[in-house]
Amino acid sequence: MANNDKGLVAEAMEAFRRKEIEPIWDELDRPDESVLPNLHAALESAGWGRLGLPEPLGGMDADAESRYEALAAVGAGSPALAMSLATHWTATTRLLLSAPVDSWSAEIQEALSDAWFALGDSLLDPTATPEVAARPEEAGWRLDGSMRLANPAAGWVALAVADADGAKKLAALPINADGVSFQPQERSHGCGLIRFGTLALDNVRIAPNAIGPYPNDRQSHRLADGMVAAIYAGMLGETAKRGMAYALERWQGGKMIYRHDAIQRMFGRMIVARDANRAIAIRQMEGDNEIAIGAASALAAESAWPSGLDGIQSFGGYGYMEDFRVERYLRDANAIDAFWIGAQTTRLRIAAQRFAEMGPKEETR
Amino acid sequence: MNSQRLRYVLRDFPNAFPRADLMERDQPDLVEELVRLQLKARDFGDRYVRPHCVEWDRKAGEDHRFVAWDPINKGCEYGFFGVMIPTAFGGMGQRGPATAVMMEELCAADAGIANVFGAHGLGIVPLMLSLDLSWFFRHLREVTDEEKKGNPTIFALAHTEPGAGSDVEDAEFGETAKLCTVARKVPGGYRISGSKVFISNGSIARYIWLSAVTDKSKMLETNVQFVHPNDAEGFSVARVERKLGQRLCPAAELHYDDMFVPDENVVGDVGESPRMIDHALSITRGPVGAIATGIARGALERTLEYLEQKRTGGRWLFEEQWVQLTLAEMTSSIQAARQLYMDSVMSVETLGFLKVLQPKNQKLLDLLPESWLRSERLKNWMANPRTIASLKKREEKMVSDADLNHVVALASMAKFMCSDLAMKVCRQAMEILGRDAVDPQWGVEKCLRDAKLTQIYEGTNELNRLHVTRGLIAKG
Repeated sequence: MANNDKGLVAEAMEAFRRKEIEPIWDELDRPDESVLPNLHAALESAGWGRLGLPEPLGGMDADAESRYEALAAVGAGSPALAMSLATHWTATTRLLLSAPVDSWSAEIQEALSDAWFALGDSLLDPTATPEVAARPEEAGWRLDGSMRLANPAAGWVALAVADADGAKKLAALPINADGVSFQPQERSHGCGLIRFGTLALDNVRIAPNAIGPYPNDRQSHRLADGMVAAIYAGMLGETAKRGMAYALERWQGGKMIYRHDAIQRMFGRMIVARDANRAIAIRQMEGDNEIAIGAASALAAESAWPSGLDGIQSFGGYGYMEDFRVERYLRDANAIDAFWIGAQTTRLRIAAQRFAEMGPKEETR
Repeated sequence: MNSQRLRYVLRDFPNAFPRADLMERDQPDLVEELVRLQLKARDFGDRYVRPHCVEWDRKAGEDHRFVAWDPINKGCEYGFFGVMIPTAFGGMGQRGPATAVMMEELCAADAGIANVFGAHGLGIVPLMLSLDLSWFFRHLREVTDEEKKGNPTIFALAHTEPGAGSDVEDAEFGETAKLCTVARKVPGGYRISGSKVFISNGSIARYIWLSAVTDKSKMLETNVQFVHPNDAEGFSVARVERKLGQRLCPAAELHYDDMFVPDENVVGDVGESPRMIDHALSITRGPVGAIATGIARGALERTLEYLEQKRTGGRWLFEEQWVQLTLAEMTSSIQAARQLYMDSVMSVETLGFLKVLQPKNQKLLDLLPESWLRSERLKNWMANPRTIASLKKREEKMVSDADLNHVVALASMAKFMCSDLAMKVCRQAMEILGRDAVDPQWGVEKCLRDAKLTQIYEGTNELNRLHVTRGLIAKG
């Protein structure tokens, strides 16, 4: 996709948001189970579901800016939908980085072309220890373990597993396979479209070509990092847009509130955060090795924190009410950080990795 | 070992407030009373609120009209509706520090339930500020009488309007406020039309304190305050809001369609002085700091409950240094917040409005026989304009402008600092819980949703900051 198409992408996603997401806003937080699959189907039929998929799966070979604009546009409407896209694209990309399409089983190849995948792996940390163990047997592998999972109405999961030697691998299996159970929690702080819960595997049998080596190439982690930052940018941009429109109409303190320094300070923070994040996110998605993996989304989460709150704050009491449609962004931002990023532990990991690269001297007392 | 015990050492009053040692020297009764009240509020919270609040919050999220009546009714047994009403009139006779300590404790359990009692107290404050003590003989006596029967008689304060939020919280802003609730003088009283928004307890209150103006372009000069019952003709609850948090305290939009209020239900004088606005802010904002601090403490306590069970990579999560660093910051924030709100409520006692209504006057009332305290004669004496005027003169003499600015600034500082710190603590709690933070069962994410409102109500934090500068940076 040529770079000058990113404007078209953004425009098209914006149109999708107005047509498909805005009308069902009230359902997005406590949806019935058909809402997200319907949105996925609408994305597919609009041609955008494959934007971030790898080319062998019919992906659009979109450049970094196009992906950024697409996810920012969707994130502005529904951060949860945007996260379901990001995790699906990451899961499928990671599977193809592990092994070529035709080396996977026929069942998995079919799933890769038309099913939605959940990601049973850390989105951003390539060094995360898997919580599921894999032991080889004569005709395949057996999997055991459990983990927290965000299941965006997916039928399949790309799952990180560890073999007996501790080597990390990547498996693909249907969520309704024998021995697999997903126990959803009743509801969630945010990203209500997505069911958070626990995935349990009890002696689950998979075929030999349902498992591959864990990709050494960090490309999918970098892409994920940039995509999550893009989603935050979408949220920030939307709360800024709504807040600024409100500020242009609201009178308090003897003038329109946009003239108050306090309000301008809030929006200044939001705009600076969004614009600074954009630069780093796109560089990350372009594969800039100088940027630590996780840095873009950790920065986005941390800078969204005060400025995302400002989005609510600028509305005064109205911002606290669900009907004004801004408080959800705070919850979704928190949920994304809590479940997928963990900004604080990401910082610790980045520092630990840099220390490891510098080669610590032998410790002496 | 499946769990480990983690105990928050600064939970109890004397530990939380080192100044209690100094207070005990001069006012041992006060310290003892504060400890007793804190434990009372804790007993209520631990027994009747904590075990159920997550589930109730869920219900209120699904149906915003849901009201958890069980703990509210139970609050009668604990005397929470009569906290500020003098003992002579059946209440607890408590003042700022006690109210604040109790609110911190109740909010550590659940801020929504706590705010039902808090917003009720807010509705009573203007009656005290009017210095017309006959109100104690009227609706406030009803509050305590009914409370003893287990019937909550709840107050609400209806001040905020659709076009005027911050504007009704500040005398200067009020001059250009776009108000919509208007009172028209008629024989025997007033007729009121307009609406009020985001009124805590609005849909469950028996009595509502209401402000209106007779001339929309002159908020201060023509402001009139009323108390009306919830069954007044022309009054209606237009809607109950769907809120991000503090869901167990309903917030309602109230409509007034030519509602009649008799003259006897007018509170104070026509025209609101900036001085009285400041007194109100000084009394109400410090306790909001206590509310925020309580929410933060609730988040900390729930985080400790989580850490008691959480192991990761073969270790207790509590053993991770980053967790211990974060817990240190959380406990320090709570401790700093506490001193700010206590400074505020104490300054109102020593420098502000509550100097006028001194405890020794309460004790005098306690000596009067019950028959006197229910008599029309004493009520009429208290309602006599000369009695009220004499109390007002006393107020003007006892509280200087400089002191009033000081207490407003301290109250505003407590409000915005405590609420900002509470948001920070709640976020840190969510960081510790990691992936489990999105799961409501731990109660931590609810604390963050509850905390956010403390940055907005009682004046947004931006307005509160301006009041700090105005009060503490002198010109010239």
